[in-house]
Amino acid sequence: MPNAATSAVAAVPQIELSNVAVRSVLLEDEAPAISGIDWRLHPGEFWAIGGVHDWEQSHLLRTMAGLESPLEGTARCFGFEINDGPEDTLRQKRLRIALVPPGGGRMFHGQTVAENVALPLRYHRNWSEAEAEDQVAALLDLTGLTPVARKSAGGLGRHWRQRVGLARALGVGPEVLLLDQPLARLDFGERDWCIEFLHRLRNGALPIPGIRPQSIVVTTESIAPWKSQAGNFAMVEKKRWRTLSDTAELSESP
Amino acid sequence: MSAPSAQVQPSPRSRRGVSLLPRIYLNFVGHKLIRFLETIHGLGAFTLITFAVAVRKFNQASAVVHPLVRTQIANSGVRLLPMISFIGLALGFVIIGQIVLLQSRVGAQEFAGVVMVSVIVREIGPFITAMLVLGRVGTATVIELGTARAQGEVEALEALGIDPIHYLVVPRVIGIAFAVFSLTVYLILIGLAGGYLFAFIQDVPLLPGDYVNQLAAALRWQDFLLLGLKTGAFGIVIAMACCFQGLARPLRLDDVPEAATRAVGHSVVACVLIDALFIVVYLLL
Repeated sequence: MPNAATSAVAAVPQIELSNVAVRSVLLEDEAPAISGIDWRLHPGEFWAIGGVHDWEQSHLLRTMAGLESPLEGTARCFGFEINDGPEDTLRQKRLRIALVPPGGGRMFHGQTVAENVALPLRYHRNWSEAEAEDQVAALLDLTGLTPVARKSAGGLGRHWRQRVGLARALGVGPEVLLLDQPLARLDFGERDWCIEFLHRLRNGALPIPGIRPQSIVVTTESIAPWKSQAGNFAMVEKKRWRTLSDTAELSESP
Repeated sequence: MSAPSAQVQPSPRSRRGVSLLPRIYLNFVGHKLIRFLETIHGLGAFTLITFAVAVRKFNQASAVVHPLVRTQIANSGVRLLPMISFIGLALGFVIIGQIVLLQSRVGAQEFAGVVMVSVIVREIGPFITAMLVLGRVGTATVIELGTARAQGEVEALEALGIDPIHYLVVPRVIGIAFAVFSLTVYLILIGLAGGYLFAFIQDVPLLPGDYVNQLAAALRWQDFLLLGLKTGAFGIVIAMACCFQGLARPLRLDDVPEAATRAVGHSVVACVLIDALFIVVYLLL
């Protein structure tokens, strides 16, 4: 029987946004790109957030990950307000959340694919190259990157970079995985691979122990590809956040 | 009686032009002053943050960061050894050799050691080494970090929970500071040896033993201490200025060359000021 402490821990949202507004990359002033966000992420949920353009999503997910302060409102990571308290505590909370930027994020200059994947793993666990070798090889194999492991990461195509970003983010075993436009500008084969991979990831069907985020959030322009995978949906319309609460709303969404 | 000559009154337009000139000039000077103060403020804050991270996180992620420090020492120091050897030899030949040659004509060879210590150990050696490191390593640092900033690598590091200051700046600060100190010692030794070699070629009546004794007599314990402090200060200032210009503010790719130019300018001015400060310290000790 779960005790009160366990229940209390489970009840704390992993990410909580209260009346949050996030900034826009394009606008020079502080006008919000999205406002009125009241949202909570609980363990085990899979959210697809649609209707968001590239420049809006970057700041939205960075705010969710605790990397940026919101323009308005309060953002919390595992119950810890990101504008309040010691930086070390916030850093520990942030490590439980992994963010995959659009296109997998920037590859690190002068490093191979294997070195890119190994870096966060080695940094956070203080592992030498030899100690990290097995885990890195497993991550490369999991994401299909073994054929390009020794290639320079800077010269990879977009779909390979997306996989490298995913492998890098999974390396430290996060509890929450945030993916910014994971299907953008990918061909159909890669889109199917990505959706299938996240499906297996969520169901624990991956061979690497400790690599299973409890919760996943994806942002996308259209939520159609995610209707069969995600369990929770939200839309951004005319710069306002709207949680889709029933099947009718979901079927009407693009 | 002739009518008084009419005085030419300046037109309202030219009156406005005259009164605008001081204001335009004051605006220009004020703008430059404000930018200078903002740079000092930003650089100071960046330096304090870097030192705090270096102290607090010295043993954190040591398997990743300590090899980076060794790499930076190799890139900033070991790779410059050939150039430093050439410059040191040229320094010895051109400056020290000429001084010794002139001194020998007036029978003042016994002052060769004093002159060499004053010129090459206390002043020219550290400054020239700092300028070489700035040109060879500092500009490359600005370009590397500025390009990484412009292309979003810093955001990628932050997204992975890696502190960009700890990963990118601290190894470079330690590497460049250590390199400036080590290369200065190396350049001084090569310069002193090169100076005697020139004197030997010119048949100056100066025995090697006498030369070494003169150097030893001219050196004080303060020279060793202040050499270490001065070269360390040069290295830290160069590293901080270059890392600040490359990393501290959002950059586009076409801003990187301008950032490199600013870093060089700031570093040269700061090194000259530090040099002047240490001259005062020498005089006080």
